[in-house]
Amino acid sequence: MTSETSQHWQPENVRTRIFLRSVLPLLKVVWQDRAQFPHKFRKTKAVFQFVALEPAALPPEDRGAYLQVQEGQLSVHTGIHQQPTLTYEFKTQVALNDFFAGKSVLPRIRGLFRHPILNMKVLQLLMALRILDPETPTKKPADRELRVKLIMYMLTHALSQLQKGQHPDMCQLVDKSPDRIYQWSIEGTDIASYLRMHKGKAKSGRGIYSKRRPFVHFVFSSIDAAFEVYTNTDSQMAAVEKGYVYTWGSPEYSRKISILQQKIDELLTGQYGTENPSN
Amino acid sequence: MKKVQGFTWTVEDTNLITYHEIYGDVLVELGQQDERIVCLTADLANTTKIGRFKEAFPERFFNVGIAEQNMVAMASGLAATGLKPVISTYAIFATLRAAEFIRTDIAYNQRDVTIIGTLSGVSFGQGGATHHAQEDLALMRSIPNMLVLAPCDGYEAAKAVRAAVASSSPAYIRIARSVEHYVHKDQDFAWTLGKASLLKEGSDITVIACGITVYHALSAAERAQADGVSVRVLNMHTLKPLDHEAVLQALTETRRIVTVEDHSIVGGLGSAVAEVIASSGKGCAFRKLAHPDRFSGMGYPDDLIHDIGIDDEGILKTISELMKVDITVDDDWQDES
Repeated sequence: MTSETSQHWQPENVRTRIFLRSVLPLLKVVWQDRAQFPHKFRKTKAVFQFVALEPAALPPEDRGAYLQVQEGQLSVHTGIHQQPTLTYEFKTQVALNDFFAGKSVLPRIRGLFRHPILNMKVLQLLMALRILDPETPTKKPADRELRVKLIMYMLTHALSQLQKGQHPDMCQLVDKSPDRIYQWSIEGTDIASYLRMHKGKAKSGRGIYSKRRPFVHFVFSSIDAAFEVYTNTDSQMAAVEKGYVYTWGSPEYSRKISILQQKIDELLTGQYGTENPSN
Repeated sequence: MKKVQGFTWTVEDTNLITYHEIYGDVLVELGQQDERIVCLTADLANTTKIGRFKEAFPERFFNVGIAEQNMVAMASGLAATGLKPVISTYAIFATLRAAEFIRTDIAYNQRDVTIIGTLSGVSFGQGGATHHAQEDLALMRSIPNMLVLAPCDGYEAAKAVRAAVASSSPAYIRIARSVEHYVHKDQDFAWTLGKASLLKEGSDITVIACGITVYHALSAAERAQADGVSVRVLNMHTLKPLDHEAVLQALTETRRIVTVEDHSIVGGLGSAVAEVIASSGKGCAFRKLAHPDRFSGMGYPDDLIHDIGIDDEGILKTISELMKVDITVDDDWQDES
């Protein structure tokens, strides 16, 4: 860890990055998976914004994001829109983060009186992300599939955000990494995501990376196996022993990635503490 | 988990996830078919997976303790009585520590003993140079009567074990950690002892690899293909007897050859291939990718092979360099009509 990276490491900023850039875009997956949402918004042309007022010194893309609905399509953008239809405004970055973490934080909603029904629809859409919460019952196969898909996509993207947010452990890993692909996939499905590291940069993507073979490939044996791994607290080793996941390639680096994924979970739930994350 | 990294992680924890190490199961299967098969280890029954044979046939299994030379001598004696001993321990100790015993007790007497060396090359990672087997292929190749095999994954290791046991010849099989990537999806592929496996056809350059580097060779070949370079990949799983025909064919048809191995640049696959090329009298652009002639460092195995340049990046870089070498091929001096 360099002193430069440690100075830039701000856990709350990275929490925001992950919520706005990794979690909120999952709504597009939900949108495609659940037909009721395109139906609900079929006649809507609107912008729904989420923004933290403080710290105002943060660049707009690090404290704001918005959903844009138009012609039955949903898109997600970072930054602050000039003419939002509804704005969910949080006094602080911490409040915004806690809202997305599922805590009882109420934002000020600008535009509520003009668009109360639209507000209800937006909240219903946001509630769909509660499927990420381990406490949310998911017995239907379709729900289980959606949950593992969302978690896999989110974790891969969030790993990249850790690096971009200067998390020391992640930076240490990426800075030293040759061109390497970490791949996740579920057997018998097209659910897959990958993380590429090269010369101090990281990038996440969905699907199978086709330009080269993976350095480490985490293969879940089924959706149910992925569900167990993502919702239980078993160690990676225990999951391997049970046959839920096979890790092809470096066991040391698969281990490092798994530990970083745990740190993402700690960040999202606000349990990251104040200690040096390298410890 | 408390053991995040370090020596204990490599040795103990990876042992728990060697779910795809199947040669232990193959030994059990062979043991059921042939009562003459007995197994020996030097205190590494679980780590090397030969312990599965112990569970199935405790009366035909011998743990000699940390005494590799005695183990080899004992195996030779057992073979002299008509049994078919199989030995398994770390490659470094199986070969270098017990070298003279293998040479004289086993090879000289043509004893039917199969030696399986695990954690070969730098796959012991943090164990460092004292536990890395950089010289085993060179040593085993130089001993008369020995078969020498370096399978690329668990499925091929299973085939190698079957072939070596069936050969009734002294044999050395080197495998790595068995947590590396697989080249094959299952055991359903053609394989012949002493014959290189053509894994990818190509006409510009040939990469000849063995052991864990085969996966990287394929990866590099696929990446080179995207840049328009046609790369042939030969899996030279048998180093002795070497498949001269496959090497000569590659020499004639591609004129550029790269060898890759997790072994010293002295005396291993590269040297074996070079001997064939030199004997042919034909010109060839040739590079050996292997450990430089010094003791290896310490670290994660994947980082070590990257530093050495025997991973896909290193191979790709060498392919790129070798493609710049101008090769003039004209063996046929008959006038064209």
